[in-house]
Amino acid sequence: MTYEGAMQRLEALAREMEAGDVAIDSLAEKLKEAQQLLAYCKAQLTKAEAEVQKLLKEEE
Amino acid sequence: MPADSVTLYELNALVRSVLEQTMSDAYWLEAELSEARLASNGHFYVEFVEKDSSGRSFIAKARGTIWARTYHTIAPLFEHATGERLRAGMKVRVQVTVSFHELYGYSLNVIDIDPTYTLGDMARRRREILEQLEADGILHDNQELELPSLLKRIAIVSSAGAAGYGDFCNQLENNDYGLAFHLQLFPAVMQGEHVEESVLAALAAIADEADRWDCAVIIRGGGATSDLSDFDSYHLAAAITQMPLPVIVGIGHERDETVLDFVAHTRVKTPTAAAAFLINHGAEQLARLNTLQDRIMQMPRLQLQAARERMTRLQTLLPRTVAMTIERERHKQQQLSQRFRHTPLLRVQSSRLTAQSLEVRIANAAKLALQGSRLKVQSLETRLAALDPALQLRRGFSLTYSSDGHLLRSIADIRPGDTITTRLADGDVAAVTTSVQNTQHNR
Repeated sequence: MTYEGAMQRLEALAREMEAGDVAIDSLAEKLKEAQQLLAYCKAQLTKAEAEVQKLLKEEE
Repeated sequence: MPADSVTLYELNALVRSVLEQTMSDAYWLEAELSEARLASNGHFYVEFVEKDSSGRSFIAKARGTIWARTYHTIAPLFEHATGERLRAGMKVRVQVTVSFHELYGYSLNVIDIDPTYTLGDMARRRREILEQLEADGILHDNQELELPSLLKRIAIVSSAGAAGYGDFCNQLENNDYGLAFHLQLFPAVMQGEHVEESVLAALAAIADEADRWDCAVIIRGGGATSDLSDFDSYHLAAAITQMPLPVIVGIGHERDETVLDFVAHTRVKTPTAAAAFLINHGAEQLARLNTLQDRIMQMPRLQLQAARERMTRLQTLLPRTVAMTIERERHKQQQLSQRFRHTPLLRVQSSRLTAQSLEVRIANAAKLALQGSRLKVQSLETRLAALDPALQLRRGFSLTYSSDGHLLRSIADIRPGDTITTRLADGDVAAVTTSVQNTQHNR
């Protein structure tokens, strides 16, 4: 995943959420995805990267 | 020594005296410096040259001197105006006097310098380079590259000792936002005649591993003079336009510019400004992320809240609605059952009432009719009674008949001497008429 790709996905998610297109059922799923992308992007920008890389590895 | 000979000194002295007499004025000279050096005694020695129109061969050459006292006056002014030290390769306009020394020969003494000429020449050179890049169609190539959202892996072209390099690194590593940067120096000479080849080599090394870097940064802090014209190079500018990464240039000071400023993706004034640019970019990304986060978190929060509120409303509403519905239904049922219970009874009752009332009405009507008849009969009786002659007779009236038994109604029917019979209530009286008198006229 690239930072740019993650940002684009986040933009898309934000638009989707704002349009109210997300059913309550899939809300949790989308939110989880958004949280992961946000964490990834923030880690890319900041020094928390190493920590997040570790988290992502644990997830796998 | 024969009388027609002179010594070298005498000849040189003669040349000197002729020159001093005939060329005592000062001249404004335009020439290129082929040499320039500050001697330890404070004097500044130069060599002026003039090339032919092809620019390849010299057609004139002259030594020149700026005496220490003059140099201390004009050099700072020149450097302030141009941002350059006097150096070889530079075109200058200087005011000179011509001198000739018996031992040192022909020389020009510089007494003033016109920085605007040099500035103009530098600008012309820059313009020519830019025009060439434009003609080659590559002038804006690097500027057309999209700046990546993430500017984190920074390839730096500078020299470890260059003013500003250390500041640049410190600034990035200790930024206020906790932004992470991965920095690597690609060392290059940033001042003097080796600038071009050295920076070209550094750029080539970065381009070779372009996928490892987000951008390239060329930085050098400016001193009192920055000798920026070293960067006014066609090859350097062309190399930057062809870099596969955005190139950020921060060389020199606030005022100066080089051709690199016109071809770089992003130009900033100083290394500090370059660091600030990168930090700002990162901070903007962080802000963008935070905004996205807010946008993403806000909607579900609102959505969930709305859903929760709806549920609460339903929870409170439902029992009430149900209770109300039940109550309403029960009431309806009650009403219905009552109606069903009462209706036949009412109908009987009402029939009974109707019958009763009819009875009464009939009775009353009958009674009234009877009364009416009775009254009528009574009145008839009374009227009839009033008409009974016997009653009239008893009241004192009488009836008179003629002798042949006709009831007499007028004196015209009677003559004196006629016998008449008068009937009273209790019997008849026979009498003879003695006279007949009309009583009506007496009234």
